[in-house]
Amino acid sequence: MTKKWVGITVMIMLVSLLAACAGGESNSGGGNGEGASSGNEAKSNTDGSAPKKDVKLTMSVWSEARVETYQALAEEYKALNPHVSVEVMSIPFADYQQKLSIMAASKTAPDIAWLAERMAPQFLKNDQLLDISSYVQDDPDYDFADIIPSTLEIFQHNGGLYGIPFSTPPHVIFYNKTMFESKGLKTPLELYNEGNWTYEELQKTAAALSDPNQGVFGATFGVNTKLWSDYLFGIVWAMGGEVFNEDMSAFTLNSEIGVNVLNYYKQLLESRSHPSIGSQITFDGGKLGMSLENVTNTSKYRDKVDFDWDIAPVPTGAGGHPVALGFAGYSVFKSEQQEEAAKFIKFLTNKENASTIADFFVPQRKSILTSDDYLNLYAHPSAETMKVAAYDRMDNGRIRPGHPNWVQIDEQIAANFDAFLTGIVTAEEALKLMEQAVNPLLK
Amino acid sequence: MRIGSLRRTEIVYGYAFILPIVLGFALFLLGPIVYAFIMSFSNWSLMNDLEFVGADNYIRALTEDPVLWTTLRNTLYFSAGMVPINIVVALLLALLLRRKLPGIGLFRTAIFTPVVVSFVVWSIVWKFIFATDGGLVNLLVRQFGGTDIPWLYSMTWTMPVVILVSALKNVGMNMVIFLGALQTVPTSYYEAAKIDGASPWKAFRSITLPLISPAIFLTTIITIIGSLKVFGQVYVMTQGGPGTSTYVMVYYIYRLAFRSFEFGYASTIAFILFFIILLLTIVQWQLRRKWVHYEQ
Repeated sequence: MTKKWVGITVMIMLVSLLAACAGGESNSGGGNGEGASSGNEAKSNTDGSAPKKDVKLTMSVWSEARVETYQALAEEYKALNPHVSVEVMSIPFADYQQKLSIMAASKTAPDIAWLAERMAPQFLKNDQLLDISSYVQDDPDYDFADIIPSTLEIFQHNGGLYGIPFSTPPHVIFYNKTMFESKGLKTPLELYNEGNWTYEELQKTAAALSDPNQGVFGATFGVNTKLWSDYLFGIVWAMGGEVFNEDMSAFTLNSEIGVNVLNYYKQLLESRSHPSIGSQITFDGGKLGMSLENVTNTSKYRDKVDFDWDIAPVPTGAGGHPVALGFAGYSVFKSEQQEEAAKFIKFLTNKENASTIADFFVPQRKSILTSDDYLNLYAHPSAETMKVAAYDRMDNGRIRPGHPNWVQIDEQIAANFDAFLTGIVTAEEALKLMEQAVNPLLK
Repeated sequence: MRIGSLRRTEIVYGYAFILPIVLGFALFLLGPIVYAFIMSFSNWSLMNDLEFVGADNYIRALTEDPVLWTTLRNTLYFSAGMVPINIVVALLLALLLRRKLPGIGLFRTAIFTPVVVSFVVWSIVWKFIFATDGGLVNLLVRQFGGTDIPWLYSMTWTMPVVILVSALKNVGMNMVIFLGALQTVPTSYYEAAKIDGASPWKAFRSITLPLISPAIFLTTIITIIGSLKVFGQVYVMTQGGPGTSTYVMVYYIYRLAFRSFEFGYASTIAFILFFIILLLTIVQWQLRRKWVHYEQ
């Protein structure tokens, strides 16, 4: 064991050492193929203006499918700024924060990185991100005021601005229309339009759709308890509760509402209306009636599944109709090239390019979000449905909170959630244990 | 004493030959081990500046870390389950497959194949087999009138499943070692025993077992050490869950180092495991004289 662990450490040390050397090399003019070619281009441009030092920026994303999108934008940027080239790399989401943390600690972090809401606090606390407010706030062409203010909160810290969001997709319920039709049940969208789309109704509908012996399940919120925060926050808010207090200094789910939420989820599991924990069943397989997912997943299913589907808003509860928003933004890691990196972010988030990116994401610029072009971008789901299910909900949208100690907090809640679901403790006991474990971490 | 020039050349050559491995060992193994040992006395983390904290980490581990004790208990549970199953099954298979029958090579290969399969692949396949919804095992359970059991999400069942999957994976390695050992036992001993009227069981106990005891000792030590280092199957199949019910030592070290980024404290736990393995090995070595016969 020791050897294995030590081996990993050595590998990291070596890789960072080598990466540091490689980075230095390409910055200083380029010994490798790519560096050499950019060097030539720079030379051919030296006729008129003063030569600028070649800069090679790296950018990390967690979606392999989007690498091409950004690579294309980087080409455009290079046409305008010949001395800047950008390399885009993809790191799987599950390892993303871990990899980035280690890279940042060894000074090899990408210049520009996608960050999710829960990743930002750690890098902010460690003072690893660049305040980019001076680059974006005062340029009239950029129109900073167009960006929906609530989406900026994650990146606002001690009066600075440490990133620009590019997608805040609300959760919606995807449903298998074919399955609803064959069972003769009212769809979630119909129930919503009747004003009767509640969590109780979802539970009843799910039970009616399920046939566990055939591997058919009515509804899923999520089947990985380690990712509890992806789905429990939304349910807690809808039932009128809070997981944490407003300034993130206390765990507040140890309440009757908390008990109800945990029991609600467990009942779905025990009645087999919901796939089991660890299940491999996904919505595109056609055996799930309803699935809680980010609205951006429409591009994952559009023209790619062999059944009819549509989306509906998340159900309502005693707490009204709040909806959890996903979150992703761009940040700049501090380095010698931070200025060039900040300018590239500005380019990515200007009106024109924000609208290009909005083919895949839910934009932050009001001018794009409310434009007919955006709403009618795709035939399915219809513009009307997208509005009802997703965009109109964003006024009640909430981004899940983060904390510098999130990794430990997350682990404590997940462990006690497991203890509850496997029947070791009751909901009341589990919530009490969570409170005892989490409160010291919030201090 | 003067060394002749020929002998000196020989010495130079000698050192030159072992230089690559010694350098490699020092650079990639010894260095990091020493470094990790030093780090186990620090609070090295990505979150704060490095500071040496003396024995604080060791005190924290032994007095105020309940997860460490859970982890130790789980690791011992895993070893106590995995090692006997592995050794007994391997020995039974070796006894069964030692006969020189036509096509026996096919069976030996079949049982050895999992050893060369990656643990990740092996674990993913078994994860599907033990899946709650529509897994093969649960389909069988249903055939016999039972209801679905959450094999990989249960405080009772998950560890036994991990033990079983691990034991099956490596049983082939030990079987091959036993096969080799069994073939060194001279047949004349069995003939003599038969003439004396010994039953097959008696022959096994008094001839086979003592004569292959060096092999049993070897496989037991290797399997115990291997079982204390279990990681891949836990990482793939359960992620330590549900709760901390399948947290084992290496998985806990991994979580501390690469999830919480507490490198210093993770090094401490790594060294605690190192000392446990060292102690076990010394004890086994001491007991060897009692257990092992006919060692050459």
